[in-house]
Amino acid sequence: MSKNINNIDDLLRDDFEDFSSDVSPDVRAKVSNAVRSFNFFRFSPGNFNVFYLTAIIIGTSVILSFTTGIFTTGTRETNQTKPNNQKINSTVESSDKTVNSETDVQNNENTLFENKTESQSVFPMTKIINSSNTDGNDSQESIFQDGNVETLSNEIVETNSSTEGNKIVYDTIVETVKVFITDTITNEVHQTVEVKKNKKTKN
Amino acid sequence: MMYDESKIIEGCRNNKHKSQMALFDKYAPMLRGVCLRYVRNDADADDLLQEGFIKILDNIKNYVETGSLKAWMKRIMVNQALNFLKKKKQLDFCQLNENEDFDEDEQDYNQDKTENKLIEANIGPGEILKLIKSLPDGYQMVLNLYVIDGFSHKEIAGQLNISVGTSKSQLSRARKTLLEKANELILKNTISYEQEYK
Repeated sequence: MSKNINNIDDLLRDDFEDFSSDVSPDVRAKVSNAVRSFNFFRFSPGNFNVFYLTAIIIGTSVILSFTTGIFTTGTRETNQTKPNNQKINSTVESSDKTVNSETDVQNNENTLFENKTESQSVFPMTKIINSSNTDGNDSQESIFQDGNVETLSNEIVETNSSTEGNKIVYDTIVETVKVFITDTITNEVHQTVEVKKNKKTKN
Repeated sequence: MMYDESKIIEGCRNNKHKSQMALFDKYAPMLRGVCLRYVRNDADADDLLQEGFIKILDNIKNYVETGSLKAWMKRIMVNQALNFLKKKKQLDFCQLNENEDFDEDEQDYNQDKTENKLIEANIGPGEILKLIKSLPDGYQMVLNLYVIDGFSHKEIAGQLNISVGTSKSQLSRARKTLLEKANELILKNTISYEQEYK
């Protein structure tokens, strides 16, 4: 070493000022990838590419599906509630009507059959309601114990998926049972009247 | 393909990959040399080079073109090396004892002695680097920062969270240890030289 070096500091500085070491191609490739990802995550309008576009589309669609999903489920719930409430009201009305029709018959016939006919008419009616309710013994009990129609309506709303179809079946069964009940009542009334008449004639 | 430096900088500011890699190709060997002075192995030097280069790209918008780009990049790489070592907990600050005595006369004496010995022994940068790397972390750090990278004792104290006095004493002891190691190396080289020509 023939350099005119004043001290150790100058010696070290001189040796290491331009000290360099070769970079392997692997390291260069790694740095190149790192630079690409650095550029990707560093958004700039001048560097807009297909990845940004994709990210924007995906983000927007997720937000839209999420928000519209909330609204759809909300409207579904309200749509489902209304017809079922109406249905329950009609159920209650139909049961009232049955009772009314029965009382009409009872008014026409003897008072001996009043209690019997009423109990026969109300019981099958509740059975019909239960059969239209697909999964609910619990709901049946709540009807009988509490007599709360709201509870029944809510549970029917939850359990009936095809409300329209069920409603048709339900109405048909109600009508059939109505006819059946009125037929049996009239038959029984006629029979008892005949028995009484026979007794009278015998006497 | 060579680019004008101002065009490379402009391209890097606009996140142009080609310009960024042109900057890397031009300065990576020098930057790796800086890394090798601060870390102990090649793998760490490569990791540090990658992290430091990304840091340079991240800050290139703040670079004022009136100054030297090389010096600016070197400074960022040194700061990154310090952060890297702190993160890897390779900086043994226990060795930086606050209450160590510091004798400037002794330092000057050692300095002259080391200089003469190294010149006589004709020791090259590769061997001196090995000697520096064999120093304890604290000594190596202060020697690198003060002597080679031109930091002041105040700046070193700020970077390493030590006092200015500690920085000075660490430098003095680094030189003393370097002298001892240089003497060992010179003795070893002399013996091998004599054996070769006998």
